[in-house]
Amino acid sequence: MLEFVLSSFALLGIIPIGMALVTEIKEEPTAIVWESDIEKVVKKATSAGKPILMDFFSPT
Amino acid sequence: MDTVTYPNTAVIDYINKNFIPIQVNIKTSVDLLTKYRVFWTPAILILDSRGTEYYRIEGFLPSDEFIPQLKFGLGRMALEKGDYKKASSELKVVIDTYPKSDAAPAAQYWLGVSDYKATHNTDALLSAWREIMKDYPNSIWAHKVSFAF
Repeated sequence: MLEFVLSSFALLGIIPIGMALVTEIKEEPTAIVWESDIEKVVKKATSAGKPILMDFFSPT
Repeated sequence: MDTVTYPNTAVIDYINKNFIPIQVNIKTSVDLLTKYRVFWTPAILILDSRGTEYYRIEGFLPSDEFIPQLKFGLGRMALEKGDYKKASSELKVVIDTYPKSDAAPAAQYWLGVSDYKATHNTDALLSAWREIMKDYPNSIWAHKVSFAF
Protein backbone atom coordinates (compact mmCIF):
# COMPACT_ATOMS: atom_id res chain seq x y z
CA MET A 1 0.00 0.00 0.00
CA LEU A 2 2.76 2.35 1.01
CA GLU A 3 4.56 1.48 -2.23
CA PHE A 4 1.44 2.30 -4.22
CA VAL A 5 0.99 5.65 -2.49
CA LEU A 6 4.64 6.58 -2.98
CA SER A 7 4.62 5.59 -6.67
CA SER A 8 1.45 7.65 -7.19
CA PHE A 9 3.12 10.69 -5.67
CA ALA A 10 6.15 10.04 -7.88
CA LEU A 11 3.95 9.89 -10.96
CA LEU A 12 2.19 13.09 -9.96
CA GLY A 13 5.58 14.76 -9.84
CA ILE A 14 6.97 13.26 -13.03
CA ILE A 15 3.99 13.79 -15.35
CA PRO A 16 3.98 17.62 -15.15
CA ILE A 17 7.76 17.71 -15.63
CA GLY A 18 7.42 15.43 -18.66
CA MET A 19 4.66 17.60 -20.11
CA ALA A 20 6.74 20.71 -19.57
CA LEU A 21 9.64 19.09 -21.39
CA VAL A 22 7.41 18.11 -24.31
CA THR A 23 6.10 21.67 -24.67
CA GLU A 24 9.70 22.95 -24.59
CA ILE A 25 10.61 20.94 -27.71
CA LYS A 26 10.01 23.21 -30.66
CA GLU A 27 10.00 21.92 -34.19
CA GLU A 28 12.60 23.50 -36.47
CA PRO A 29 11.18 25.11 -39.62
CA THR A 30 11.47 22.83 -42.63
CA ALA A 31 11.88 25.77 -45.01
CA ILE A 32 13.30 29.27 -44.98
CA VAL A 33 10.77 31.59 -43.38
CA TRP A 34 10.71 34.23 -46.09
CA GLU A 35 9.06 37.58 -45.54
CA SER A 36 7.74 39.73 -48.38
CA ASP A 37 7.24 43.18 -46.88
CA ILE A 38 10.43 45.26 -46.57
CA GLU A 39 9.03 47.59 -43.90
CA LYS A 40 8.04 44.62 -41.76
CA VAL A 41 11.47 43.06 -42.35
CA VAL A 42 13.34 46.19 -41.26
CA LYS A 43 11.24 46.35 -38.07
CA LYS A 44 11.86 42.65 -37.34
CA ALA A 45 15.58 42.95 -38.08
CA THR A 46 15.93 46.01 -35.87
CA SER A 47 14.15 44.43 -32.93
CA ALA A 48 16.00 41.09 -33.35
CA GLY A 49 19.38 42.74 -33.99
CA LYS A 50 19.84 40.57 -37.08
CA PRO A 51 20.92 41.42 -40.61
CA ILE A 52 18.57 41.07 -43.56
CA LEU A 53 19.02 38.57 -46.37
CA MET A 54 17.31 39.90 -49.49
CA ASP A 55 16.78 37.44 -52.34
CA PHE A 56 15.71 38.91 -55.66
CA PHE A 57 14.02 36.31 -57.83
CA SER A 58 12.35 36.15 -61.19
CA PRO A 59 9.13 34.11 -61.13
CA THR A 60 9.00 31.35 -63.75
CA MET B 1 18.16 28.54 -55.73
CA ASP B 2 14.59 27.63 -54.82
CA THR B 3 14.92 24.07 -56.08
CA VAL B 4 18.50 23.19 -55.05
CA THR B 5 20.08 25.48 -52.46
CA TYR B 6 17.20 26.83 -50.38
CA PRO B 7 15.68 23.39 -49.59
CA ASN B 8 19.04 22.25 -48.14
CA THR B 9 18.59 21.74 -44.40
CA ALA B 10 21.90 23.38 -43.47
CA VAL B 11 20.96 26.45 -45.54
CA ILE B 12 17.47 26.59 -43.99
CA ASP B 13 18.92 26.36 -40.50
CA TYR B 14 21.67 28.91 -41.12
CA ILE B 15 19.43 31.53 -42.73
CA ASN B 16 16.57 31.18 -40.24
CA LYS B 17 18.99 31.52 -37.33
CA ASN B 18 21.16 34.36 -38.62
CA PHE B 19 19.00 36.54 -40.83
CA ILE B 20 15.59 38.04 -41.34
CA PRO B 21 15.06 36.75 -44.90
CA ILE B 22 12.94 38.43 -47.55
CA GLN B 23 12.19 37.31 -51.10
CA VAL B 24 11.62 40.04 -53.63
CA ASN B 25 9.79 39.38 -56.90
CA ILE B 26 11.53 41.53 -59.51
CA LYS B 27 8.34 41.75 -61.58
CA THR B 28 6.36 43.40 -58.81
CA SER B 29 9.00 45.22 -56.73
CA VAL B 30 10.52 47.70 -59.13
CA ASP B 31 11.23 50.16 -56.32
CA LEU B 32 13.54 47.70 -54.52
CA LEU B 33 15.06 46.60 -57.80
CA THR B 34 15.97 50.20 -58.53
CA LYS B 35 17.08 51.04 -55.01
CA TYR B 36 19.52 48.14 -54.86
CA ARG B 37 20.57 48.33 -58.56
CA VAL B 38 19.68 44.72 -59.28
CA PHE B 39 19.70 43.75 -62.95
CA TRP B 40 20.14 39.98 -62.83
CA THR B 41 18.82 37.11 -60.76
CA PRO B 42 19.44 35.37 -58.54
CA ALA B 43 20.84 38.26 -56.55
CA ILE B 44 21.19 37.81 -52.81
CA LEU B 45 22.04 40.85 -50.75
CA ILE B 46 23.21 41.06 -47.17
CA LEU B 47 21.87 44.21 -45.55
CA ASP B 48 22.18 45.52 -42.05
CA SER B 49 19.03 45.85 -39.97
CA ARG B 50 18.41 49.32 -41.42
CA GLY B 51 18.50 48.08 -45.00
CA THR B 52 21.99 49.24 -45.99
CA GLU B 53 23.72 46.81 -48.34
CA TYR B 54 27.10 45.36 -47.36
CA TYR B 55 27.54 42.30 -49.56
CA ARG B 56 25.94 40.63 -52.53
CA ILE B 57 26.03 37.28 -54.25
CA GLU B 58 25.06 37.24 -57.91
CA GLY B 59 24.26 34.00 -59.71
CA PHE B 60 23.43 30.52 -58.50
CA LEU B 61 25.53 28.82 -55.83
CA PRO B 62 25.19 25.31 -54.38
CA SER B 63 24.84 25.04 -50.61
CA ASP B 64 28.51 24.15 -49.98
CA GLU B 65 29.55 27.47 -51.53
CA PHE B 66 26.51 29.47 -50.48
CA ILE B 67 26.89 29.07 -46.71
CA PRO B 68 30.57 30.16 -46.67
CA GLN B 69 29.63 33.12 -48.87
CA LEU B 70 26.97 34.15 -46.35
CA LYS B 71 29.42 33.84 -43.48
CA PHE B 72 31.99 35.77 -45.48
CA GLY B 73 29.42 38.48 -46.14
CA LEU B 74 28.72 38.80 -42.43
CA GLY B 75 32.45 39.05 -41.81
CA ARG B 76 32.82 41.78 -44.42
CA MET B 77 29.88 43.67 -42.95
CA ALA B 78 31.38 43.51 -39.45
CA LEU B 79 34.73 44.65 -40.84
CA GLU B 80 33.21 47.61 -42.64
CA LYS B 81 31.32 48.57 -39.49
CA GLY B 82 34.56 48.47 -37.49
CA ASP B 83 33.60 45.45 -35.38
CA TYR B 84 36.97 43.75 -35.89
CA LYS B 85 36.46 41.07 -33.25
CA LYS B 86 33.28 39.85 -34.92
CA ALA B 87 34.80 40.23 -38.39
CA SER B 88 37.83 38.11 -37.53
CA SER B 89 35.63 35.51 -35.88
CA GLU B 90 33.31 35.16 -38.91
CA LEU B 91 36.20 35.12 -41.37
CA LYS B 92 38.08 32.48 -39.37
CA VAL B 93 35.01 30.24 -39.49
CA VAL B 94 35.03 30.47 -43.29
CA ILE B 95 38.74 29.58 -43.44
CA ASP B 96 38.59 26.78 -40.86
CA THR B 97 35.26 25.21 -41.78
CA TYR B 98 35.21 25.72 -45.55
CA PRO B 99 38.90 25.79 -46.56
CA LYS B 100 38.16 24.55 -50.07
CA SER B 101 35.44 27.09 -50.78
CA ASP B 102 36.02 30.06 -53.06
CA ALA B 103 35.29 32.31 -50.09
CA ALA B 104 38.25 30.95 -48.09
CA PRO B 105 41.15 32.83 -49.76
CA ALA B 106 39.10 36.03 -49.75
CA ALA B 107 38.36 35.47 -46.07
CA GLN B 108 42.08 34.96 -45.41
CA TYR B 109 42.85 38.28 -47.12
CA TRP B 110 40.25 40.23 -45.15
CA LEU B 111 41.18 38.46 -41.91
CA GLY B 112 44.62 40.02 -42.29
CA VAL B 113 43.03 43.41 -42.83
CA SER B 114 40.73 42.95 -39.84
CA ASP B 115 43.58 41.89 -37.55
CA TYR B 116 45.66 44.82 -38.77
CA LYS B 117 42.83 47.30 -38.25
CA ALA B 118 42.33 45.95 -34.73
CA THR B 119 45.99 46.00 -33.70
CA HIS B 120 47.82 48.28 -36.18
CA ASN B 121 50.37 45.49 -36.21
CA THR B 122 51.85 44.94 -39.68
CA ASP B 123 53.03 41.48 -38.66
CA ALA B 124 49.40 40.41 -38.18
CA LEU B 125 48.60 41.53 -41.69
CA LEU B 126 51.62 39.86 -43.27
CA SER B 127 51.13 36.69 -41.28
CA ALA B 128 47.57 36.29 -42.57
CA TRP B 129 48.56 37.16 -46.10
CA ARG B 130 51.47 34.71 -46.03
CA GLU B 131 48.88 31.98 -45.51
CA ILE B 132 47.28 32.94 -48.83
CA MET B 133 50.60 32.47 -50.63
CA LYS B 134 50.96 29.07 -48.95
CA ASP B 135 47.40 27.71 -49.13
CA TYR B 136 45.91 29.48 -52.15
CA PRO B 137 48.87 30.29 -54.43
CA ASN B 138 46.74 30.18 -57.59
CA SER B 139 43.97 32.45 -56.34
CA ILE B 140 43.56 36.06 -57.34
CA TRP B 141 44.11 36.85 -53.65
CA ALA B 142 47.68 35.55 -53.94
CA HIS B 143 48.21 38.08 -56.73
CA LYS B 144 46.76 40.82 -54.53
CA VAL B 145 49.27 40.18 -51.75
CA SER B 146 52.26 39.22 -53.93
CA PHE B 147 53.71 42.75 -53.72
CA ALA B 148 54.30 42.25 -49.99
CA PHE B 149 56.61 39.22 -50.30
